[in-house]
Amino acid sequence: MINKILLTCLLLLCVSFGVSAQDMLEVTGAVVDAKSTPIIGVSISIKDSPGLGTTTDNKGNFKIKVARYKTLVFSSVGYVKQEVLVKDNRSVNVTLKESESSVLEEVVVTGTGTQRKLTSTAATSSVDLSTMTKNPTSSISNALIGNAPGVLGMMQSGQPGKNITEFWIRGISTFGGGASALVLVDNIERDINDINIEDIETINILKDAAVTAIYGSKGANGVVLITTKRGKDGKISINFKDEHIYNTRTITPEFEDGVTYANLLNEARITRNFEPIYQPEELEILRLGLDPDLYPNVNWKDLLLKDGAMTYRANLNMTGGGATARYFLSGSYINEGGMYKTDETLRNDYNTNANYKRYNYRLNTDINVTKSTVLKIGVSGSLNKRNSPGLGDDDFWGVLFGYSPIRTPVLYSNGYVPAIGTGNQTNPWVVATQTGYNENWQNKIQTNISIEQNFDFITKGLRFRGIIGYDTNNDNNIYRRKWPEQWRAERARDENGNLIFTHISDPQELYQASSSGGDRREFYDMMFNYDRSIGNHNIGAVARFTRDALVRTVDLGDDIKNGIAKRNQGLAGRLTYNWKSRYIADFNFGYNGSENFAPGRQYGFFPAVSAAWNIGEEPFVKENISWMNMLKIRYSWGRVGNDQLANDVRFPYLSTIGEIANNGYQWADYGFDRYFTALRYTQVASPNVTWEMATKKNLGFDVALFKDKIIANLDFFNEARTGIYMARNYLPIMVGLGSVPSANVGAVKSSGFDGRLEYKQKLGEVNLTARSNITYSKNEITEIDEENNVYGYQNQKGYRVDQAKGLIALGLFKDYDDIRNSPEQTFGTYQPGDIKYKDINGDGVIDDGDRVAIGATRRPNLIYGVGLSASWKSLDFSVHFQGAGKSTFFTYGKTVYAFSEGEWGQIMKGVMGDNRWISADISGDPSTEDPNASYPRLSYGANPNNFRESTFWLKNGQYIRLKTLDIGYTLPKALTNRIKTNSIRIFLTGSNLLTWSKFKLWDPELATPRGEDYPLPKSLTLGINVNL
Amino acid sequence: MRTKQVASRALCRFGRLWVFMILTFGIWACKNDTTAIIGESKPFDPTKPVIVSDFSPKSGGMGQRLIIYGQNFGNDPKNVAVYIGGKKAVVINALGESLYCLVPKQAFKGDIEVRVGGEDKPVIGKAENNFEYQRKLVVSTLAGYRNARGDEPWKDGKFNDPDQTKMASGFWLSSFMKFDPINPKHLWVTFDNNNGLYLINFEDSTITTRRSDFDRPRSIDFTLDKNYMIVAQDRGGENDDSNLLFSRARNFLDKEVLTKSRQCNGASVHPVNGEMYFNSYAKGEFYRFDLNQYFNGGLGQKEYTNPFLIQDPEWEYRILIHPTGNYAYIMIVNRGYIMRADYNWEKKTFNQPYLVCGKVRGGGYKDGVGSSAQIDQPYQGVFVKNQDYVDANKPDLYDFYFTDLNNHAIRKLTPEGAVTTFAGRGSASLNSNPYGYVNGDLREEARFDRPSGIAYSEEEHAFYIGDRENRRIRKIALEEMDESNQN
Repeated sequence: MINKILLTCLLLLCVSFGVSAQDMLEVTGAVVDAKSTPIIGVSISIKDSPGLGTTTDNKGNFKIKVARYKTLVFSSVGYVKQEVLVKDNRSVNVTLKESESSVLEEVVVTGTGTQRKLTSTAATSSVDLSTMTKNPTSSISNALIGNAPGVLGMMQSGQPGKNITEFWIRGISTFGGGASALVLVDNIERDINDINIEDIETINILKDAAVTAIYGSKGANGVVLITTKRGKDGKISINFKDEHIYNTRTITPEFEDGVTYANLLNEARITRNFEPIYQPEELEILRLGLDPDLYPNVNWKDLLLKDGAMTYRANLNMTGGGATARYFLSGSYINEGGMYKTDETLRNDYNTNANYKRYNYRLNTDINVTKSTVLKIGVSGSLNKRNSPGLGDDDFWGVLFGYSPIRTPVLYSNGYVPAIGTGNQTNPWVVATQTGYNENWQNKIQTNISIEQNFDFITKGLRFRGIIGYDTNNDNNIYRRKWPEQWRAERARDENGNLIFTHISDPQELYQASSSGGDRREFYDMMFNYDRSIGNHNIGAVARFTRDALVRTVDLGDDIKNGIAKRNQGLAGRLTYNWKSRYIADFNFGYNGSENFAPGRQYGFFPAVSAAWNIGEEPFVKENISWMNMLKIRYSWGRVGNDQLANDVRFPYLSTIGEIANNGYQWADYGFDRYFTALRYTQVASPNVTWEMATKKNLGFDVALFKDKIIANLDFFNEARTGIYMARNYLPIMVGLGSVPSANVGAVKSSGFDGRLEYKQKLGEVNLTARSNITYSKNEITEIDEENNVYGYQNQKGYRVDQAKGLIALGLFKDYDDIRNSPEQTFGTYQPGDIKYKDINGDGVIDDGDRVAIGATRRPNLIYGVGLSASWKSLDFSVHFQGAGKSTFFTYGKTVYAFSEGEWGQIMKGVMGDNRWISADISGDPSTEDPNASYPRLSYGANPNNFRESTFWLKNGQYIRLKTLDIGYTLPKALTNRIKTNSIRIFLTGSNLLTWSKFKLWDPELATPRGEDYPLPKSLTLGINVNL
Repeated sequence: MRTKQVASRALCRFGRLWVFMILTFGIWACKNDTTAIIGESKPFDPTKPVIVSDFSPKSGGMGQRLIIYGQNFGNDPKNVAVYIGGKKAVVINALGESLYCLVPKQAFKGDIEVRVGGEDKPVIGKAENNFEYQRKLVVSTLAGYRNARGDEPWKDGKFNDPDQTKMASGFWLSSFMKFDPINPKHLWVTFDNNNGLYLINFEDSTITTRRSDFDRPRSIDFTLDKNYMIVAQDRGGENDDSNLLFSRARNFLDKEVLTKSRQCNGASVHPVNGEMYFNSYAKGEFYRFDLNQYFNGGLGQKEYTNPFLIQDPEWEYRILIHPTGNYAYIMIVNRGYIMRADYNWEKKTFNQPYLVCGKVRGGGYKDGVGSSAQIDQPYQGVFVKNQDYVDANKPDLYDFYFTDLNNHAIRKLTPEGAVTTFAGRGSASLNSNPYGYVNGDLREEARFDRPSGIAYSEEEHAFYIGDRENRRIRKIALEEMDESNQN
């Protein structure tokens, strides 16, 4: 808490206040609205005198001292700003008009500047920031899904600091290099996950070629454009937000207890003709808890995981300034608590919990150097720290899922620390708390200076903007590790009843190690804009030059390529024309270069043409269909590239020459040494490699009806990606290459649609807004370098990228007759109760030739969101649902394939469904030999017949969840005014409160097939937002 | 200046808000972190009777895990004494209505008695039915211990003592055992790579070092007249001492060098004719040394003959001669098979040997006949007379029991060449390893960990085994009827 006050003080001190004593005049007056109701808390400031100002009181009255010939500015949220020049008038009464926003006035930010939405020909979507800020995690990527049309994605993990969402704009269209979008923050390529959400002014998703062509070889996967807030002139406005978030987990896997586990284990052994592991009396000792040393029953999950953890987030920003200079200043702090329990005795020494802390600051200053020149300086930085237990997070989850409840106790009764084996097969409590801890910290500093010059004095409508800047980033890992001495007790006592211990590992005192990485990005950006209206002809032109270099600065190793900057430069341009905003034509191009390719193949030209027809602007519509505010049809065609290569390959056009080990010749005479090893191409050059090319088409409709009550956008897209970079693994041997070259040979086509629908309604004093959006995308490989397969269905060509493939399970074998009468399965021995597969190719044998495409892909191909918000007087409420569909995935691993790794692996509750197949010899009931049972005959150890990819293990990843539920209360103006604040809002937000899914073992969004990962958070936020 | 005031006043307000916040959230922050609790139960109530209602399982032998159900057992195992068949059982735990103990040995009567409340005034509960105690051949521990860290020293001492420091310990090398032909209460042992000659003395239950001047002693045998002990040494040089002779008259403290040769893996004396046979690892040489001539006129240290070679160089083997002298088993330690060489009574030497069981270099574990059986490092064996064969009037009356070191088992080879597993590799449910330290039923429970030396006491009908990795001397015998012999 102290540091929060300090933060506040520091930020306050940064602002200097100045008052000049001039010829002062005391002005009084009242502010009312159109209905002559007094407005409370209207901010009144003196233009160009930053820091001076007052607010209206409970009756809407104000009193301010002001010099003559100064301008008073009246502003309040929801009203149009009004300015009044003070001459001699001692009384100023003002009527403020309620502000009305219209779609026709909305602007959209693109790479070539802002543009009126009305005249835009491109497919872009802007993200609703009010929903974004409700996201309780540190990364804004988590709020994109279901919030903006055109974005598909899934959250990777629930772990603080790693809880980010991987997203793809309009899905995946490549299998070669990266499929991730280009993220630009203030026009610079930057990480989306480190930005403070409260600093963001706009987020725009650029989807089609009409807006991405200018990014040339980097734009094919779509672009996310983020701009940060800038200072506004007027009285200083201080905004403070403070949130306490209690996190639990959406779905935490539960495990069977020791007695159930032991019985299942025995069943798995007996049913496969092994002797049982537990004798009846041992089961009885286990059940009664008579021997916690040898027959423990530990709930490791409860021992290791807390029920919930707190996250604290605070944000303070202030903005103000005058005509000559404006500033936006912000600082934020987030502390996400991990879910791991810690050892109380070690708590004072170090923290093994998975905590994440981040500090962000930002200072955006705009200075009017001359009347037509603005200098903008933006400096921001972040420092984040993340903790993990000594052995790391992966092992934490691996061990938790692996260590059965009856393996060993937490500690033996004599204080010895148990373990079964070395490495990660150790006791989970040791992994979580006794192996030391790791700290990862990252520090980023981002600087950009831009100058904007208005050349109206040369020719009207000509502007220039230049940006230079650099970002530095460093990443450090500090490992402080130790290890306790460990023992294993044999599960038999000696004749005196004593435990027999085996020494497993020696103790390791605390030691430390560290590693680090870092990079630096430098960039220039110059842009000329020209906009001119001549009569009804509106023309615009843009020319832009960019150059950027990213270089690794730390831990370069001995490979010289590591130290060479990744450079890009390009020229982009745009020409637009519209007639009365009715008929719009637009031409964009990028001429980009990447140093990664062979000279002569480094530059490419990426054109895009687009056009739109604003039917809503036609006089016959305006006159006859007055409820139609906007109707626009637009179409774009263009080509964009993607220069991200698989495995981040550098300079594929160069070959590598290396020595052949043990292959050389001694050229010298006896007694002399002139031995030379032979050389060969360890990697042949692929001189013709270049970026992959996307040809994008988009047909879009924008509609606004009934005074913007209904707003809808719908876009149909189609993309052909060609020249996908891939290794030529199937060249004939007679070509004689010792290594595999690469080429741009793959092709993928994809198509789909995205759209949004918004509906606003006012019912009495209740304002209702309903929002929904949807994105669907389907792709198909049209060309890939693969071996021709006898069975066409086994090719990758013709199927989705990363299409799930496997056998089709027909249920379980009923009896041996069923086995005899079915095609032979060649994976391993099988018995009644094992999985029976379909013979797809009809050759009488089940083998890998019977694998077919089943289901879809792990990544969802459909994402949608539906939300409703309502406000009534000072109460506001919103709810947002998000869903995903067309997603299937295989589950596997030690907890899904029960006992597949012997006694290593817990049994997850529910993993066997309602009824597993049990031999009648064990259950005594023939009906348990159910060929339609939900889980096959248990087995112990590997079972290649059952445990392989098939529809039996294929799960449906579709879900719908109550992503956000938010209730807020804004304190009455009368009260807030009395304590000299503008507004105070208290809010309660729930996140991921409910999830509906067919798959119930772990969160369906979590991108793990094994479930062994940090579950996604479900949280409750209580917060306050104060505006001064 | 006004703005400044506003700001500082606002700060105070923040302060108040903070108090509110902390109060609200303090409740959430105080999460308790208690770990798993093991079942708790009521303490013993001396005013109430102790009732034994049932027990499980109903039958078993020594060391059987037994659960007794009833009431008022209390929660302190130290306060509970269980007597089965009049013998005190080890109580592991008591939890009010159940307790867990290990069936003591010799609990033949099987009546169960639970005494709670200390030695002085115990409250006694008795079971209605008796535990059915089964007497059988069992593996037990004679001497030695291994502490958890495995750092106990080689030490002379008693077989067993409450004070570990008084116990004999060590034994972590491969051993060779031989009973004294005159005193069946004396068992002589050497350990490869240990310089000592050890005496396991059953008269006073001690293990003592008698000599400590060897370099890799590999075997012990006695001359035909039983007056001399011969210890073979495994040394590298052609002129190193390979067989040493000690006389009983001098308490085996003297020393005479019988032969000099390299890499001897053991020596045996023919039980009828008295000549000595030994080997060399170097080329697989099989040597004969005429002890009779040595004693009656003398024989040089290199005057041994080489009737044949066994297979190839680097062949580690032992020659163990049948009590009748009719044949010898040649146990190929490092190649996993056993050969037989018949004795040529005319020439007074052994004929060329042939395979009896196992496969050359075919180490593995499989019971079977002849070459279908698999063994892995047969280390030492003993011939044991089989009463069934005597009754059936068979020509060969002896089975051959040998330690199968890498298989952690005691195997049995019949005169017909059938190999079975006699003891070890039990407790299949414990873990998937065949090795470990478990006493009890020979096949069901017992485990060894690299058994090496083995000796058979005809007097007791008991086997003694040097269990190398368990660092103990183990014993296989029918469970004792009384406590006169502690082991």
